[in-house]
Formats: sequence, C-alpha cells, structure tokens
Amino acid sequence: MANKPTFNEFFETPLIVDRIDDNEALNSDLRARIVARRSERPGLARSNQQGWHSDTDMIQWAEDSSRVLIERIMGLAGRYTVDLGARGTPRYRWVPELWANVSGFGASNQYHTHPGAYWSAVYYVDDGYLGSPDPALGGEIVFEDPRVPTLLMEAPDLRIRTGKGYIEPTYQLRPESGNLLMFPSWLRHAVNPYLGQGERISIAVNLTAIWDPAN
Amino acid sequence: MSEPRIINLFTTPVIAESWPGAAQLNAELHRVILAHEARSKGVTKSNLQGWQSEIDMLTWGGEAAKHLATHVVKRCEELTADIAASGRRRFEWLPEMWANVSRRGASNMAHCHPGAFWSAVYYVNDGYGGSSDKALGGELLLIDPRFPMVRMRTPDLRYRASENDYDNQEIWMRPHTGLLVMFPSWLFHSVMPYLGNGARISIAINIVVRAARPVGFANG
Repeated sequence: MANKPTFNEFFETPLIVDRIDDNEALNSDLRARIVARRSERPGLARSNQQGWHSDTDMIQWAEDSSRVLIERIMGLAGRYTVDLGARGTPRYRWVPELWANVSGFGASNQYHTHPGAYWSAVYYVDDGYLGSPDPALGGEIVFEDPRVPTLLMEAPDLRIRTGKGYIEPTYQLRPESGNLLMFPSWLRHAVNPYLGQGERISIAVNLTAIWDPAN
Repeated sequence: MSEPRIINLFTTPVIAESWPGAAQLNAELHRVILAHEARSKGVTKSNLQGWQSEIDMLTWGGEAAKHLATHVVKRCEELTADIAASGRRRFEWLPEMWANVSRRGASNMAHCHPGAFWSAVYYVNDGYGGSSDKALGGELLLIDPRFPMVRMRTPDLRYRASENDYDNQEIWMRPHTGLLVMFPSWLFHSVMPYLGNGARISIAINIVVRAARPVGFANG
C-alpha cells in the first residue's frame, strides 16, 4: 500500500536486562553471606510481605561479592546515563545502597518506588524455581505504567495496538538466577507472591546520583 | 560476557501519515474553512490569536470533511483493541471536528482532550509556502506524560537510549501539508507560534468512544 502510517513510540521507560555469566562462585558466596546475616538479624519491614529484608548495609557484610555487583551496575549506569551539563569531567558520582531479600512460600513485595535514587536494580542469586518453568510458582516482578490510571480512565477495556501486541498498564518478568535488572527509581514495581517450595534470594540496589563536580 | 538488552516499556504512540485524500480534497477543505471563518467569530480555547471553529465542522465541512473523519475512524479501529470483547461489538467512535486558522504569531497553549480516546490533527496547509526555514515556527509539541517526575531530582541526568539519543520531555514535529497525526487524547500538546506570512490551516478531531447501541434496540 502506498500509504502506511508511521507508528512512533515516544517517551519509553527503559528496563535493562543484563546477565552475569559464570555466576556460580559469586552466587554461592552471596548466598552464604545472606543466609548468615539472616540467622543473626530480624530484618526490616518495608515493601516486603512475609519475606526477610536485610538492613541496607550489605556493602559492609558482603564486601567482595557486593563489589562485583556494584561495579557491574555502575557500568550499566554509566552506559545508559548522560549528563547534559557535563563539560569533560563527570559532575555526579553514583552512591550505591544494597540489601538482600529472602522470600519463602507466599512472600511478596507491595508496589513501591525508590525516591531519591536514579537507577534501581535487582540481581537474582536464586530465582527459587529449582529449574521448573511452571508459571504457578509465581514470583514475577511487575512494573506499572507511570501513566496509570490516566490512560485507563476513559475506556478501561480499550488498549492501543503496537503491532507486537498492546500497550498494557503493567509489564511482568519472570526472574532467572544470574539475571540483573535495572530501571528508573521512580518506576513503580512489585513482586507477585512466590509460591515455590524453595527460597527466592535477591539483592536490591539503589544508585543515587550525588552532585560532586570536584570528583 | 552477556550484553544487556533494553525493553522499552510504556511507550506513548504517535501515528503520522500523509492522508491519501489530500491531493483531491485539500482545495475543498481550504475553501470551506476560510468561508466559515469569514462568517463565524469562532471560539477561544487553547488557541492564542488564531481562529478556531466550533466543534461542529462535520455539519458544515461537506464531503471532504466526512472523508477525513471516515479515514480517522478507520485508523481508530485498526489501532485499538477491546480486550474484553466477546463477539458483539461493544464500542463505537464519534468524531468531533473543528478547524483552526493561524496567521502570524498564533499559537496553542499546552492542552489535552479529556473525554476523548484518540485525538488527531490534519494539516490542510502548513503555511510554510514551501519553505523549510525553521524560523517559521509552528511546530507541534508533544509533552512527556511522565513530566516533571522524570526530571525532579537531577534535571540534567538523562537516560541514554543510544549514542545520539537521550530522553527528552518534548517531541517537536514540524507539520507538512497533508500530514495527519494521531495520539492518545490524554497526551499534552501545544503549538509553537506560527511566524510565516501565510495562513496555517489545520483540522482537529477528537474521537470519542461510546458504548455501542444494543443489537435489536428499537429505533436505536
């Protein structure tokens, strides 16, 4: 046909999916430190429902393995961020904050954001699926469209087609051990109840951009 | 080493095309709009200085206006899915159409169209007289629906989508005669001052969605 409309998709919200290869040694060290910490500390109550949420000082109690993760995430942040006002030298530096989550059967996370941070990331030490692809095991991470409910108010059942599918108000991803996700800290996200018989172990990271032009 | 991949979530669709009816129908649209402008004082909404008709253009725009509305409704059909449909058609589209004439200095404030689902603008005459001079202004601006949240903390730090592309809260589109643009009605948009010496003539359409009348409803 002579006349084919151009379908532009503007103002996208990026979800970066990375993977740490050869992660056995890293994951086994992280697991050991997290399990040890959990046996000593009651954990915090934040967005986690039932699961154990460590303190946010993980850099102190899992130093070497934490550094591997932080370097990887800072690499991604450097690659996917531009400072429009920079003149040669960086004006911001990234300050990381890490914590661990352990989710047993039924544990979930309520929708939340990370105000103050720029990038947020999650690394899956153990997806808890024990190799099973069964969707009934739950535990998906769910991202909510920042325009909700505006885009649903007029006609809740109508969706805009993209060619690949529809623009849906949520996007969910099934975690995988060794995978690393990074997304803007303002993006609302939750975790569906994990319904496996093992344990989901993940590490959450916030990167805050600190103004430090002398750096 | 694994390479990261990017999933682009929650995009804002903006559809652009050259209307196939332009060659045959622009002259007629041009004529009826200027004739209507001459006898109607118009309304003041988002338009600054420019003339804007009532939203009843389908009653005075003739066959050319109906052709344009039919085309836009066809696009709405193609671009929209009813995820809870169960056989029977549940929705129908109702286009509301108005005309705009912008002479030197006219612009439109940022606005959106509550109550509609799709909004469209069609350029009968871009007013540029064949010139590509950017100083003539008149660009259509589309504003990031996430703004200002995405800029509050560190306005200069932007998501780098590629080597030469970073997140920006505005998209500027320079219209051309015959261009049809469609976008969700909740999307804020504005028009920069038109600074040419001719006249920018455009048609705006809000496509309202309504529950379809039940099958068999008497005199429905």
